[in-house]
Amino acid sequence: MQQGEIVVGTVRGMRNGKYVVVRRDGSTIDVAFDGNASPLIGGDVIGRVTYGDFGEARMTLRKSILDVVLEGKVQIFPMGMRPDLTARALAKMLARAKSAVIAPGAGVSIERSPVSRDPDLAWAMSAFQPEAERLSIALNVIDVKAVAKAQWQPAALRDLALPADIEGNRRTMNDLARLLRSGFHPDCNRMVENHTGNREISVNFVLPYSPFSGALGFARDVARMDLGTFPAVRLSISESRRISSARYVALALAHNRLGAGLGIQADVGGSPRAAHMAACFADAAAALAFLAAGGRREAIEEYALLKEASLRFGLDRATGALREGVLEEGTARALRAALATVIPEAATPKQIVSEAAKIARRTALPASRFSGVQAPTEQEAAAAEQAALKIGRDLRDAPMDAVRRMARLYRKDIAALVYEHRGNEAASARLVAFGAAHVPMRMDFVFEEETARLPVHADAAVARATEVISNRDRLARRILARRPAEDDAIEFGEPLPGL
Amino acid sequence: MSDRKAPALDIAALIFGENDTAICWVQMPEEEAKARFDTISRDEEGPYLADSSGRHLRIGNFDAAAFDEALGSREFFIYALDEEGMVVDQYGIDAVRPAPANAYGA
Repeated sequence: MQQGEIVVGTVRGMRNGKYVVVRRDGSTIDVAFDGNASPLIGGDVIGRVTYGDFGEARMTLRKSILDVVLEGKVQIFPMGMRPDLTARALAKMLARAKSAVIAPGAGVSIERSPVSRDPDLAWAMSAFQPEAERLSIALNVIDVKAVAKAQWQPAALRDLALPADIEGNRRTMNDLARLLRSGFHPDCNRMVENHTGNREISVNFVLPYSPFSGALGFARDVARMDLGTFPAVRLSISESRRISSARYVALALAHNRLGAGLGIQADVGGSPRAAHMAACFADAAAALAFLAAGGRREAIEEYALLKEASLRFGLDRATGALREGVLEEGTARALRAALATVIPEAATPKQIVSEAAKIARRTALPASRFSGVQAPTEQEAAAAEQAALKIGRDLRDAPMDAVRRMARLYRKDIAALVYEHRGNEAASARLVAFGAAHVPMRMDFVFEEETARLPVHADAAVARATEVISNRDRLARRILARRPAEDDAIEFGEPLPGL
Repeated sequence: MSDRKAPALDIAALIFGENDTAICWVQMPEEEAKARFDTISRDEEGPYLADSSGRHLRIGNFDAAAFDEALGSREFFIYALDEEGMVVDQYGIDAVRPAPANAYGA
């Protein structure tokens, strides 16, 4: 019998202090049971067999085959004439399961794996997975690199979103489709379920980072810079992905960790102030985890500067008000507090998350700031101006020498992305389509030169995506309009329209 | 083999695990779910659930390629789903048959 093989059988007696388990095919195995639960003679047992140092077989009792199967990598083929039922069954299964990474598999299948092959994503998940399990949150994190390579069409997206879509409506799929078509904009997608009068919040999926943004695109998004401003950051692509992944994975814990008391969930999407509190928590947690893992302190300082500068770059000069979502995401105070916190290198996920919750409660802006016109205070505006001068370079009037120097940094960033995606036609095409949204002003030639060698792939979805991103206003609306509307919450058990 | 005149069953999902294990979720009427079929097989007409007495039920909807891979060498566990998508029975789990008394030489 192989190491890790699943055993399903009946205990027929004991021999030499071991339980004799008869399997379904009649073969027997003598095993010792780990853990507090021991089987009764005559009882049915399920578990995964492992072998100790001396070759002795050991098992831990599990409740069902599904529990055992989901401990490893699985491939799920949704089928059936009633996809809503399949979705419900899968959603219930995954809601009870532990956190995992989900990626499109061969054909219409879904691959679910407890560990990601993406080192940055694997790090972020390992930083918060134990705490997610303690809080009974099943994190279904989408393997963005695998999705980037996959041939997704709306039907394939439906299958990818189905396991998370317990609501039985199409919102999750629509959200995912919109996020992917807007260049894989990272997000933490939640659902609110009204069940017997209680609002239950859970996480549908986490899209941890955009594989096409690079470090400079990430910095631009965080600071809300337009293409006429160049982010002067030294962040590497890996660092930006780690910070982004950790932030969105931590955001998935926010509703359970920021509640008013034990077992009380916080509706973090319920108001701009609640969303701001959750963002403060997520950024503080990501920063603390990054630093505790030995990450560069300068990377978090740059991230804090970018957040400070967002109150300058996110300002609508015509109205003097901040654009939608800028104040909610203005978490610089939380990041500064995280930088000032002494966190031991061996800090546990629980310590990190607890500290981040304290920081969020201490540093979040008061609710009054989110009513009426949202604008920075004089002090914030001055700090944002200083931060913008430090972290942003205006490309519009910059001398050509300065543009060339910055272009060398951009070339390095885009070349790394080209190297990463060049082996797959679909990913290459998406890099050309979505990467174009991040090309700094006066640097189109760099993007064209670096992406010229990528294979060309005729993909209808990419063609549609190109059409979308060619209209910048429409793209911005797609990205900004990602908060679920209040009326998306439906009563549990409501039948699907049209069925 | 006595084919029952029942509506074809609908496979909701196939879940392939490691170590050649597979779970098959089958949506079926409640009375059939209680019947406890032991295994899933395939002939020229497609897959069917069967029990040790030879009784079997046809599965109406299936992915031929997925089944060809799965039916080769995998150990199947069948979950019955009701019309609400709830698992109502798990064959191979609470339906593990008591093994023969002499199975381990007793």
